[in-house]
Amino acid sequence: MYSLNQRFDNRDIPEDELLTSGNVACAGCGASLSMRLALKGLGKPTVLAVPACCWTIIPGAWPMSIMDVPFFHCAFETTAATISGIKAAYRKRGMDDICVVGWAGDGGTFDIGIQALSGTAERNDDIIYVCYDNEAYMNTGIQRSGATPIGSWTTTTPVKKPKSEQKKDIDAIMIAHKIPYLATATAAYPHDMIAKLKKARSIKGTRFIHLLAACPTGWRMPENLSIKVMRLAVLSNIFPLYEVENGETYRQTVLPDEIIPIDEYMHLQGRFRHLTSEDIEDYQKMVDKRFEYLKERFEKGETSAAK
Amino acid sequence: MKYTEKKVSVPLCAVSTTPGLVNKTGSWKFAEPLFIDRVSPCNQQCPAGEDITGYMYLASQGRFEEAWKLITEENPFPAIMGRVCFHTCEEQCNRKDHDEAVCIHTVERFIGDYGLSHGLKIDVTEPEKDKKIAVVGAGPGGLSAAFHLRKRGYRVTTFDRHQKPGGLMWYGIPAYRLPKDILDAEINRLYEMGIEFKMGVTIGRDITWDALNTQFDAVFVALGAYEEAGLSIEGINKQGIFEALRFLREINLGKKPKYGKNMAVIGGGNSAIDCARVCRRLGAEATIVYRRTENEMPAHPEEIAMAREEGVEFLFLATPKEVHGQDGISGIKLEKMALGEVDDSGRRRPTPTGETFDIDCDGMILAIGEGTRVDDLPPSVSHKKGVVETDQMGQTTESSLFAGGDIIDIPHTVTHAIGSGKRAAIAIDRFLQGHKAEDIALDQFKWGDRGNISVGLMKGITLFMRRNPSLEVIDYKNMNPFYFDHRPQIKNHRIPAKVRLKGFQELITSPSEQEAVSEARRCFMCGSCTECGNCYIFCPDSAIRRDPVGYGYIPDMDYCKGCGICVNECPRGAMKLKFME
Ligand SMILES: Cc1cc2nc3c(=O)[nH]c(=O)nc-3n(C[C@H](O)[C@H](O)[C@H](O)COP(=O)(O)OP(=O)(O)OC[C@H]3O[C@@H](n4cnc5c(N)ncnc54)[C@H](O)[C@@H]3O)c2cc1C
Ligand SMILES: Cc1ncc(C[n+]2csc(CCOP(=O)(O)OP(=O)(O)O)c2C)c(N)n1
Ligand code: SF4
Ligand code: SF4
Ligand SMILES: [Mg+2]
Repeated sequence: MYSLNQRFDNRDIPEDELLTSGNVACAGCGASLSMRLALKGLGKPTVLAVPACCWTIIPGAWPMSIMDVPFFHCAFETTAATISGIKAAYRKRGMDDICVVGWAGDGGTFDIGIQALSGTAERNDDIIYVCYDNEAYMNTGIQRSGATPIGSWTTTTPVKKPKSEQKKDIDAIMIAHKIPYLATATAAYPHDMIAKLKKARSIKGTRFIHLLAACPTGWRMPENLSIKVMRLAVLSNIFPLYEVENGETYRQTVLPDEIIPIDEYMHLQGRFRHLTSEDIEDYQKMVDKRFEYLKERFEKGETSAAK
Repeated sequence: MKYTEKKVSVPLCAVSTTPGLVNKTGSWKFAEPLFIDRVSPCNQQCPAGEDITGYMYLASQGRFEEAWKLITEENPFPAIMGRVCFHTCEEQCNRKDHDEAVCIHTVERFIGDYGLSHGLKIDVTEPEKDKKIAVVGAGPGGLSAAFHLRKRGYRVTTFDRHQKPGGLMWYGIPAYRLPKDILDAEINRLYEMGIEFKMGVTIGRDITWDALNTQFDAVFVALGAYEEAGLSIEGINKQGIFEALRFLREINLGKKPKYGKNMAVIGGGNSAIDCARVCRRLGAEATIVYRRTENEMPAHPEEIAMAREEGVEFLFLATPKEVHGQDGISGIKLEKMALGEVDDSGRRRPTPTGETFDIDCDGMILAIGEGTRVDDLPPSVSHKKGVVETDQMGQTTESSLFAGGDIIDIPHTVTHAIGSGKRAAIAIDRFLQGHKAEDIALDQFKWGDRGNISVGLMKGITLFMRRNPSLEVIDYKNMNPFYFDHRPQIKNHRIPAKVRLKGFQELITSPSEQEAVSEARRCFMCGSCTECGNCYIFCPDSAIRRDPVGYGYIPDMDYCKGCGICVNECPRGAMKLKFME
C-alpha cells in the first residue's frame, strides 16, 4: 500500500519490463534508463532499429542481448531509412500493427543521420524516431556533436577551446517538417515520458521524440546525479518538456513550480566547470531568450486548444 | 537475376541467442545501495517513544484501529496526549524545513478519540505472572508504569492519596484543555486490564514504605511535584491569596474558592497561564505578573497566545514586594525588574531596580513553581535537592525501587512522565527476571541516540515498512524534497474566545476523519519505505526488485552497478549507499 504524500503517484507506471538486467552501459547511464522507460510506454509489438551509438553496445555483445523486442543494428547514417523500409515490409505483409521505432544518439540524428531523417519526415512515413541526446559522440570517446551545447568541454573541444557553436535546434528542424507529433522528454519525469511514448504510438505518420539523456561519463559528473541533472535541465528551462502537433500546436507538458538559475544545472557537471560567472550570465540570457521563443508558441497553442 | 540459395554454416545475419542476464554487471560496483529504515526526528523527539511515523503511515490509509494499537504499545493515553502533550515532535519535524511541520498532535488526537468512540481495548496477552508490583502515585508516570507492567502480565496495585486517578491530569490541568470524561475514559481502560487501584491511601502514612517493600516484589514511585514555593513578603497571609495547585484543585473538583473580580497571577509557567485562564472563565479579570519578559516565559507559546485571546493581561519585569489591604488583599506593591546576565537556565536573570509601583487587585494566585517532597522515601533511596537519583532506566539506589515523573531529573510534562513510567516498567520486568542493572539499558531499542525506548522495536513490530531498522536519524538535508509538493498544515478548530469564557467547555474541537487523513498524508514518513517505487523506476539496470517478503524493494546485487541513483531519488532517506572495501 502507498501513502499518497508524493507529487507523483508511481503506481500507474507499468511493471512489465521489455528488457532485462545485464546491460553493459556505464553505471548511472541516462540512455539505458531512457530505453527501459520508453519501452514501458511503447509496449509490444515493437521493433527497434539502432545505429552505431552507445545503444549498440548497451544490450550486450553478440550473441548476448538484454532485449525482449526485436532490435536491428543498422549503419550509422541510415536509421530513418531503415525504419521506413522495415515499416513498408511489415505493411506489405499485413502486419501494420507493429510499431517500428528508430533509436539513435544525437550524433546519429543531428549530424550524420539527418538526411535520412528529413526524407522520412518529408514522406511522413509511419514510424517513431527517438533521439536520445547525450550531447556528444559518447561511444567513441566524447567527441563534440551538433547537439553539444555551446561552451561545453568534449575531447575534441578542450577546455582551452570549448565548443563555440550553438546547439543545433533539431526540434525546430523537425517541427518545420510539419510532422504529426513531436515531443521532448526525459527520464527524470517518467510519467510525462511514458505518456508521450504512448501517445506517439497512437498517432500515424512520422513521430519524433527528443530525449535528454544524461551521460555521467561524458558530462563529467558522479553517476548518482543523472536523474537530478536531467530534472534540473527541466527546472532551469534549458530543456523544457513539451509537445507539438502537426508542426503547429505547442503545449508545455511540465510546468516547473519555480524556475531555477541555469548555474544550478551547470555547476554539477565537469564539462561546464571552466565557464566563468560572466559566461554563465550569458548562458542564462541565451536560455531565457530561447524559452521566450517557445513560450510565445505555448501560449498560442493554449489559445488554439481553448477554441 | 535469380538468387540461388547456398547452404552456409554461419547465419546470414547475426542473431542474438543468449540472454543478456549472463552479464553479471553487479561485479563492477564499488558501492552498494542498502534499504535501511532510519529513525524520523519526530520519533526520536517523542518523550514517550511513540512510533509517530508508523501511525502516520497507518492513519494516512484510514487504518485507525491499527494506528491506535501502535500508539498504545508505547503510551496508554492517545486521546489525552493529543490534547495536552506540548508536541515537541512538531518542532523537530522535517517538514518544517519544507513548508510547515505536520500537525502530529491533531492526528494523534483523532486516533485517540477513534479508540474511545470505538471502544478499543488493551489485550493483556502475556501469561499472568505471580510477581506483584506496587505503583505509588496514579499520575501519568505511575499509570504508565502500571499499564506497561500489567501488559507484561504482572499483578499491579496502584496507590494514590487522592480519590481520582490521574494526578495533575485530574487535579491540575483544567477541563477546557482536557475534559474529565476523556481522562476518565482513558484511565478506565487500565481498570479493565485488571490493574488494582487503592485510592485515598497515602504511602508513608497509611502504609509504611517498609510494609510496601515486603509485600511487593518491586515498587515504582511517581509522587509528582506538589510543594508550592511560597513568598515571604509582608501581607502574604491576607485573605484572597491562593497557591496555584490548590486553586486549580478546587476548581477541578467543582468547588468555588472565594476568588476576586480582579486577579493577579504571579509567575510565568503553564500553571500561571492556566490559573489566569481559569479566572477569565470564572468571570474575573486576570493579569499575569512575571519578573522576566515574554521571551523567558517557560509557558508554551501557544498557551500564551490563547490566554491573550481570552483577555489575559501581562505585566512583565515586575515582582511582588508587599501585599496591601486590611483583612483581604486590595493591591500589591511591585518592584520593577531589569534583565541581567544569563543564568543556569540559559535565560537572562531578573535583577531588582529598586523602583516600585502599586497595582490594585482583590485576589492573587501564586504560581511560582512546584517542588517535590521526597524526604519520606526509604532512607536507602538517595536524592538531591528534591530530585530522586536514578539510572537512565529509572532504578534508584534501592534496587527494588524505581522512580519516574516529576520527582526524577526529567522535564515536568505529562509525556515525559509517561515515557519514564514505560522505561521503568521495562527495567522492572528485566530486574525481576534477574538481569543486572547494567544490562537493563536497551540502547538498541531506542529511537536514535536521544530517543526513548520503543516497545515496538523491542517486539520487532515492523509494519513491513520497517524491514531493516537502523538507529540513524534522518534529516531534511538527506532527503529528496523534490517529490513532495507544498501544502499548508491543518489548523486546529478553536471555539471563539467569547464562547470559551462562558465555561469550561473544551476549546479545541476534534478534527474530522477526512482532515486527519489529509494531515497524516502530509507526513513524509521520513526514513521509512512507503513503496513509492522511485528506486525501482529510476534504476538504469532494472536491478531493483520487489522484496519477496511482500513489501518494498530489494536490490539485485548480481546486476546493480552501484550508481546510487536509487539512493538519491528516494524521497524519504530510506536508502543508503555503502562504499565497499
Ligand atoms: C496547572 C498545570 C498544567 C499542566 N499542563 C500540562 C500540559 O498541558 N502538558 C503537559 O505535558 N504537562 C502539563 N503539566 C505538567 C504535568 O502535569 C506533570 O509533569 C505530570 O503530571 C507529572 O506526572 P507525575 O506522574 O510525575 O505526577 P503527578 O501527576 O503529580 O501525580 C502524582 C500522584 O502521586 C500521588 N501521591 C503523591 N505522594 C503520594 C503518597 N505518598 N502516597 C500516595 N500517593 C501519592 C498524588 O496524589 C498524585 O496523584 C501541567 C502541570 C500543571 C501544574
Ligand atoms: C559511418 C560511421 N562513422 C563513424 C562510426 C563510429 N562511431 C560509432 S558510435 C559513434 C558515436 C555515436 O554518437 P551518438 O550518435 O551521439 O551516440 P552515443 O554514442 O553518444 O550514444 C561513432 C562516431 C561508425 N560506426 N560509422
Ligand atoms: S558513455 Fe554515456 S551514454 Fe554511453 S553508456 Fe556510458 S553513460 Fe551511457
Ligand atoms: S514528516 Fe512525518 S516522519 Fe517526518 S518528521 Fe514530520 S511527522 Fe515525522
Ligand atoms: Mg551522443
